[in-house]
Amino acid sequence: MIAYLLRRFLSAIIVIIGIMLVTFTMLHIISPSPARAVLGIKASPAQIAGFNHAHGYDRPLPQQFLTYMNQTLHLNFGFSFKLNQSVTDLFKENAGRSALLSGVSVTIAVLIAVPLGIFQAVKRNSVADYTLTAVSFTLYSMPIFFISLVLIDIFALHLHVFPFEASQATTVVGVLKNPRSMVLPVASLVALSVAGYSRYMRSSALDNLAQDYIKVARAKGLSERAVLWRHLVRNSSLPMVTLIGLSIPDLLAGNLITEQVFNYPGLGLLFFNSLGTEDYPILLAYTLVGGILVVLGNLIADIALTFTDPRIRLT
Amino acid sequence: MTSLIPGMPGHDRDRLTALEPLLSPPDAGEVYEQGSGFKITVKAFAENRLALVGIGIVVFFLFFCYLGPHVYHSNQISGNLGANDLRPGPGHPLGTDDNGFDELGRIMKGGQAALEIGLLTAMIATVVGTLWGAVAGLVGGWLDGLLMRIVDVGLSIPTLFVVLIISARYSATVLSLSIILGLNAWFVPARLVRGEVLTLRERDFVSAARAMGSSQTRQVLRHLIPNALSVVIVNITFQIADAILTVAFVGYLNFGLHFPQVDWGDQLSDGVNYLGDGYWWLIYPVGICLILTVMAFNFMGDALRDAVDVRMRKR
Repeated sequence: MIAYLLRRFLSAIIVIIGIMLVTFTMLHIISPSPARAVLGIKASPAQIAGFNHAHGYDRPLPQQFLTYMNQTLHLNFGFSFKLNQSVTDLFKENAGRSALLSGVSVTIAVLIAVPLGIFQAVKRNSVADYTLTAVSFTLYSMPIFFISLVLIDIFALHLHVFPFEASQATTVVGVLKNPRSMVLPVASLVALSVAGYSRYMRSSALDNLAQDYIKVARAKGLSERAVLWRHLVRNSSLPMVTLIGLSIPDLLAGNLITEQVFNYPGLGLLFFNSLGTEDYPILLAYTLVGGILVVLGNLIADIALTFTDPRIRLT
Repeated sequence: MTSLIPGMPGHDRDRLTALEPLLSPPDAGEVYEQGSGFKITVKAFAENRLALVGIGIVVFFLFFCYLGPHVYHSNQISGNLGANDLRPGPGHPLGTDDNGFDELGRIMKGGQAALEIGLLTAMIATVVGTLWGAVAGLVGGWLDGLLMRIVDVGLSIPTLFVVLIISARYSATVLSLSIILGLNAWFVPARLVRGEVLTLRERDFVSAARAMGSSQTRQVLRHLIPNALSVVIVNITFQIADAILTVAFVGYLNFGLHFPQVDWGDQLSDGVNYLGDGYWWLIYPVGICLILTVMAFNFMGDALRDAVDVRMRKR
């Protein structure tokens, strides 16, 4: 167990260093030095050289990479010369709101997907199952911005039930005070996640329904309710842990699009705006953070699984 | 975006019924002719109704996008600002967009880009991924470790971020988008093929080939890749669906193709501005085409996965 965890940690660290290497290389190829952006197009070569020397952009690449790694380790993600603010500060400002949106959405998605998947597995090949499969297949094939657009069209423009813009509050508490404005963004993200989760849940529940322990539970006279809730749910929702870890890249992408569509000031909107202003330090720092989140998510999922599932005994 | 985990094995196990007629027990004493593995696969695939629907939709869109413009002529080179935002009516079955382009013709043109990018991306990703995975699985040792850590790094970095950064920096064409997407999508096939090769190389026929002194190249090209092909083919369909969706995202965020080329994502993002005005024809027809195409490839992938999964055949 200990050996497994150590190896798992080690490979996570190696992968994170690899991600840093990729983002560093991309940053270096796309914008080797922000000197031009800072000093303007009329700066003389001497001024540029002076800037590069002062900020270390003239040092050999491996040395610059070591500095980059060191800075990342100290949660210093660089400096946005366009916004004249450190990227870390910008992230701190926006992370809470993005985490709120994603966290709430994933929680609701899991709460819907687990019972839904089990229901479909129990009633498999019924009309209800086919209908739900068709719905989830459609959602599954839908780009998230289209889900958002349809929701906006129906609920904001025609029924006037919910606003079409997400809360513009600057603090998490402020956002929570205006829950109505978050219904549509959350609903879009939930629809996206439920489609994937419930299909997986259904197949996991189907596999488990065929197992002997379910037969035993039924044979000893348990009510169907007890069989499902006490035995099936626990066992078949274990893979959800892994699935959530694996779905982080999609979640980040979905977050980016949702925040853009609903103009919700979070990390995704910051990324989108930086694309327009070609603010590469922000763009690549968010890519790096996203990659690290994915690695950590998978790591946590793996560790959680080894603790929750006694059948998994890794050496 | 769609397939939360591309190539995720094992759902819809109950769809085995498709094979039932094929496997009905032969009369006693007779040898039951089963046909080659390929024939069984084709038959299982053809008996899956969803797969046929999927093929039908794809064929329809191929005709619609490529033959359509030869039957239904519309000017897609110069706009007509005097006839912009027309409602569907005579002369313009789906109305016109903001620049006066005929919407139906524009959907055909956008579909060409979507299908081309989807196919090209899948080809690039599959070729690179298959070779990478085969080499890693066959050579093993430290090289395997290194190659697979690179794959881990690639899988951890959110594809959409990298694609957006590159297409914001360098202008996007069908070819460049396909290459960027392809180079971000080969990690999944690489991992799948490596897994397949690892199991295959322990099989007797590969040992036999090795014992008879066949070279490593021959083992890879003649024995391992052909046998791992089923996994790869299934993955291709999901790759196409994913690529079409990702391009739609990039286009929707306005970092996609440039005039005179157009992509469904572009069209949707143009249409969004007029959602409040009730110009539904700028959004729903394009959106439905996009969803149907992605769904068709997902259907085909699902059916193929069931058809090639040997373990699921009740022999």
